Amino acid sequence: MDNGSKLKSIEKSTREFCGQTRREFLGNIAGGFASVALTGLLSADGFLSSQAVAADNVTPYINPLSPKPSHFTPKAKRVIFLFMYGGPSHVDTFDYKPKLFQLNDQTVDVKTKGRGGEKSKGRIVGPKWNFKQYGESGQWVSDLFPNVATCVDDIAFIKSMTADSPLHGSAMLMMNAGRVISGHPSLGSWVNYGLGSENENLPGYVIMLDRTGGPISGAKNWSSGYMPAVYQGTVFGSQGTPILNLDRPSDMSDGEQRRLLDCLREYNTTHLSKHADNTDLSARISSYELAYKMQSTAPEAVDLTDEPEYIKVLYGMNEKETEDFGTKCILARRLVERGVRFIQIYSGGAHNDDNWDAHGDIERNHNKHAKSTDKPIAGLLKDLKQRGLLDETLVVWGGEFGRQPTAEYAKGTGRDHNSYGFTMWMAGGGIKGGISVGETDELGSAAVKDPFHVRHLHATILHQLGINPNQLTYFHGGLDQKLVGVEGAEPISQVLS
Amino acid sequence: MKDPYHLCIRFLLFLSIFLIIYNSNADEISEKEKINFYISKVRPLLETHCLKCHGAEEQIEGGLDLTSRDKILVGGNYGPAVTLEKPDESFILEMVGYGKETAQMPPDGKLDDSLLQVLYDWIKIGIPYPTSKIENQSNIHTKNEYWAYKPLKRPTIPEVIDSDWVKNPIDAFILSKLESHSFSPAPPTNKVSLIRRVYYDLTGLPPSPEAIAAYVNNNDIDSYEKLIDKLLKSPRYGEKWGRHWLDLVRYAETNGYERDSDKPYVWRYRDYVIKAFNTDKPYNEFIKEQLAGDELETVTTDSIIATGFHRLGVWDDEPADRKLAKYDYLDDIVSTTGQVMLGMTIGCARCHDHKIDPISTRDYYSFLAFFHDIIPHNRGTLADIGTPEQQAERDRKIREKRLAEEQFQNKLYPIQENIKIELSKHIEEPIAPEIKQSPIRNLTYRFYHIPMEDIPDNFDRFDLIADGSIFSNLLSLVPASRKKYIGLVFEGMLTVPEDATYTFHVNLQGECRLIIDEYKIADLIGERELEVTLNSGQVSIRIEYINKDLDKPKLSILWSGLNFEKQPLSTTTSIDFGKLLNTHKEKIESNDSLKSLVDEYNKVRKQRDERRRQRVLYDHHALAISEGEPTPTHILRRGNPHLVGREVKPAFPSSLNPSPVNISRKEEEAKSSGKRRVIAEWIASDENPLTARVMVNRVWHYHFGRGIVRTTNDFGKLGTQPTHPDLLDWLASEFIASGWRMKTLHKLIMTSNTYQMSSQSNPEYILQDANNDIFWRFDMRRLTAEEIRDTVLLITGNLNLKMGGRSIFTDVPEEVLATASRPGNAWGKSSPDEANRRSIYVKIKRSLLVPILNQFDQADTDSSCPVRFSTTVPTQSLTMLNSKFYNEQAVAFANRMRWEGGVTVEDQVQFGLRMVLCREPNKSETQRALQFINELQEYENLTPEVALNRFALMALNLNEFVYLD
Repeated sequence: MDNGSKLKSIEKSTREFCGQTRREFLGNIAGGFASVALTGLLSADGFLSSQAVAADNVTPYINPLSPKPSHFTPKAKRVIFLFMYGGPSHVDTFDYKPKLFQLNDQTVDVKTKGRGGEKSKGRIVGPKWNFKQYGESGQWVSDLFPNVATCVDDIAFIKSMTADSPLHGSAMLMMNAGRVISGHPSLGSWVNYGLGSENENLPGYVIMLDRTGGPISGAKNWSSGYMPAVYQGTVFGSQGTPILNLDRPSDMSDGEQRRLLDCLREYNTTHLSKHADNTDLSARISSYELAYKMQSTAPEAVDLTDEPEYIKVLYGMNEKETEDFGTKCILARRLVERGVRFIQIYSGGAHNDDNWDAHGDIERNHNKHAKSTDKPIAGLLKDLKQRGLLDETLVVWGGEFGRQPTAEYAKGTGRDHNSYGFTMWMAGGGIKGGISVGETDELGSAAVKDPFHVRHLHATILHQLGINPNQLTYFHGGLDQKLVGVEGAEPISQVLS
Repeated sequence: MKDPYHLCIRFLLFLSIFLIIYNSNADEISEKEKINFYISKVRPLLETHCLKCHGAEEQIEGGLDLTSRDKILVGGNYGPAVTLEKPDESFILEMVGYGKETAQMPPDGKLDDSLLQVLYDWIKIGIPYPTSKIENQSNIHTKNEYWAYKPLKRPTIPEVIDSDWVKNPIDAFILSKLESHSFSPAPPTNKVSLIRRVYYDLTGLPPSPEAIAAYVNNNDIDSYEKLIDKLLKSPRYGEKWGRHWLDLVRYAETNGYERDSDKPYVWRYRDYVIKAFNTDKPYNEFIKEQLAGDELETVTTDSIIATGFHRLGVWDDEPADRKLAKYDYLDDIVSTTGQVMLGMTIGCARCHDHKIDPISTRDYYSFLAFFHDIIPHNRGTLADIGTPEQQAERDRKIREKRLAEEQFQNKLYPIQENIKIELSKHIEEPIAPEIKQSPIRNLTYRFYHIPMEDIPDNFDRFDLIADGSIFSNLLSLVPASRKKYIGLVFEGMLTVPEDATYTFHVNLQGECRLIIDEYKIADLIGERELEVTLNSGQVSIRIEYINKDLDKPKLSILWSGLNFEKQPLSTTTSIDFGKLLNTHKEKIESNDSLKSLVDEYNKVRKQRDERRRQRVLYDHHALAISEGEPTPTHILRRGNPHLVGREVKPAFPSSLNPSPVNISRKEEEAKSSGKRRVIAEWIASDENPLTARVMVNRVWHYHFGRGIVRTTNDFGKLGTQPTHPDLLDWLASEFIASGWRMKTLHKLIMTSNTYQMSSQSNPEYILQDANNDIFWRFDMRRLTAEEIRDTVLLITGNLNLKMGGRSIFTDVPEEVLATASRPGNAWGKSSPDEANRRSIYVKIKRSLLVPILNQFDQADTDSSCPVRFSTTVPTQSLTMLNSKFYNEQAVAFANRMRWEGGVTVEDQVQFGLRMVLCREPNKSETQRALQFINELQEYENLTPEVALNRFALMALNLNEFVYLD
């Protein structure tokens, strides 16, 4: 056969991933580089994966999300991304700018760009909260985050973040998927594509939304873009059924369902015997058994009844304002313990003051959102740490941009968006604690020292997971696409321990 | 740089050695030899080391362009690169000599001595340069050698040993390859499998048991052909194949991003596509209409609707960088056109030359130039497609309405004035002083219902409640008949006294946008001051205003200039009139003449408002193309619209050896440049090497589950190569010869024995060719998301086959709706009957995916989707077991079994199995069903009715049901 050896090695790949991984396969062979994508392909083909077996203990199940080896030894195994939707003000939270207090209400020359357009001067709004230094490292934190402040020695603050857009729609896509243009896979999709998930009874990429609703652009924020839908985020309810259609219909008993599945398997096995070579058919048989298992394992993962009271208190679940976010944080820890690869929790949803988008009254807005998240976040960090999980769990905090030092309107304290400079922080997962890297100018209006782009943040997250951000590629539209863009990006070396 | 013309001593010495050696030969070299020297020695050197920065289209470093002799002699920012009179002193030699730290080229390391020598020799012989453009003879970009770019030639049909198997030439191509590998084709599949395969392939739905029986029992020699003919005539064919096309052209019905707003009338494009397939519109016409339906010789309603093709992509109505957004919008069109119609990944060359394929950045922008004048999404996307009669009817109604409103308005105004006069006689305090002479003329308003948070870019897509003139010529919120969810667009002419900078003082509750002299000044909230420089005379002024739910909408605009203090452009006087009447209610009540005036006023106002609320309904719009004034296209360095490079003219990709482009406007008053027609005709021509190949390959892909070229959107070198190149060319030749008829192509493919092979495995073959690259059997495939949903609805008896029109909303679980940022507004509700229409009619909203379609690998709509994924994950099983949709359908299915299946449970389950399997169930299958139902009754205490419901659910989950054999 003219093509014999190639024929064998590409078996099944095209059927699974519609010709795209075939290209990767060939490309990687040519490049002599056994990439994550290649190993992923091989495991999808059953070459390398530790083959899971379905509940019937017979049928091998080839899960597209089965674990795949990383490029190098990872520091972090999992990520919890605390997404402060709407854009928290860095100068009111972690980026201490004494000058702003002095200049309160004075009009100064400063270049800004937000939803109100570009301006060259504005009225300074002095921060409404006092700043103090915390921890052995002496990190500055405002009174908005008294509890997070007690964890600063585990946190690396990146105070010189920049993004390409100061407008929610495109900025959300950028923070989640690296591009201001819609259609690209989100960070969690890339991570699951690159590494697979450790627990096939749970989704590998979980989203928990604010109770007020999703962020703007909804599902685009956890989309798998041009990758298969298996890599998209699964929205997890923190109350009731965590996963869509997980519950049996209310009028169907477990026994009935088990009989239904047994009967189904008998029919399907007979059908399979005539098409024995078709692994898609056997995979589908197994997927029913996995679904059945998920029905018991997923509710267990979200069942908080066996969490001791002091732990619940640690997360603020005993207080009205913090109960909701605290529940999500404790769920995140439970999911992390069960091997879920990527978890994103939204603080804030819907529009206006339902999230951190403080255009009108910064005090009212930020008091509300900081109050509801401060204790839960500190609780999460402390709980992960006391369980020895913080070392391998990367916690990321931040929004799609920061806010301007100046007022948006003639009156009031509201601040417009700011993508020229803002703060994000990371903790755990091999991140150096108790440091701040990069700086904004004395007003906090733009990053001036060691500016970092969202791409660098993404590169850092991938790097901690053992993935070379410049080698994690997916072939689409004629290009080897990367999360960090065609030009690539290096991790932020200062925050690596 | 200190002295760039200084020559380094070391290099001088080095050069002088060559001088001695070569000087004597210089004059004796013939022109031909000189050119050969250039081609063999110099060109590789330039290409490898220099042209990336001094010749690539997107960037010319230091202004020095090395792509022609003239340009070298003219030189860059530091003067001529070569001095022919004094070759030794040529600037280029100094640079490559690495003499000075600040002037070293190439920057990544000094050239080898042998290369320096080549460069010197070349200068010495007068820098021979064969043509003016290096890319035309570059060997980086080979052309005409790659199979896909070669002109199409009809291949000879190969000889085969087993000629009996050859039903048509397709089989000869397939069999010849099989025989060369000592393979035999799989046996023909049985008639039952075949009819199911044919039904799904052509209609996306299974055959009914009656259709199966009729076909199986028909032994006529042409029964198979007749079956295909029948299905090709079915309207279901267009729905099935139209869906394929919609995948390719990234069809969705919203714009994406923050607001994810609707694309109005986009469904007409969907219906156009379905109709085009059903009427067998020649494919070349089909793509011409989509690219340039507004510019063709014959423009029809359909051809205008077809241009909606350009409008289907994502569009950010609030981009961070408007210029970049414009090119993102055009890139979407270029990339989609390139991949879908030409199988070329042109989009890859937006920032850099294509890494592998012969597509340069210049090619990209030359291709983009055909589309450059398209007006991005926000304005002018709707075309009026009404017939002259419909338009006349609408105009008449609008005139009538305007007239009626004017009549009321004319009555109302004097009454209002009279009331003021009359009232002033009876009260002491003055009534609001009369408005000063307004600097605005011809002020009109349009009043909309706007249910939005933020000011929309385009008011036209909202309900226009009222429009008309404002007689006071001052902006006023009075035309709005209520306070919340309002939008007003004011337009008029502002008299500017002199050339100067004016300040606009704005104070508002709500949100407004100020546009002066066609130029958008700003989106405004709260209190602002804006400076605008204006020329004297009449300039247009347009103010757009919205208020969502503030109790007190307010719009106050004043302006001041060099020689005048703040002067109002707006007034609230009219609002005060109501208050005025209210304040003096008692006076009015007690005075008969006043009272009758006010009664009259109220009566007329009521009539006017009633009239105003009556909308002139007019639905004859299409989402379509529109172009602005032609502007030149430039190469953008690294794709960055702020780094503008050279101008390019529209041109076809150079690797396809195209003819020069000739563009002429169709007529003087044409609304567009005619450029798109040129690219459309080039793509759709019989001579284009790619178009037919790409399309026949797609058709093959959709029939066989994979293309002859598996990467159906990429015929380049990064794509996979054809497994049967001659077959591909033969099909393409046939396709063109048939007049680009899709139905002829389907029939040709489907009547081959190749298509009718069974999917049966062969243990020997599967070891050698597991991927079935040589087509030794037919590949099984899972049904698509739409096929699964449609089939479920069909066999449960719920499918509504109504065609066309606005999209419908199928039920989406609450949990999913809750993920939207406006959970209540994200999704609509259709009547149960409407909700059960075919999946192609389900609304496609970019930010909200319908789980039962999305989970089964529905196409992603943000870019062209050439091949559907086919994934298998447990969440799919959860949906098919537990979702409300499946459980409701299962009950409906069980009811059908009870009512239509027969009296006994055995009859009923046999009926059910027959429906899902499209074949007669065998004894053990029936037994298994009966046993299942018995066990449910016996051990789970279910009633016979519920037990049959469970069986129905189980049947809808069968592998055999969701896989096509």
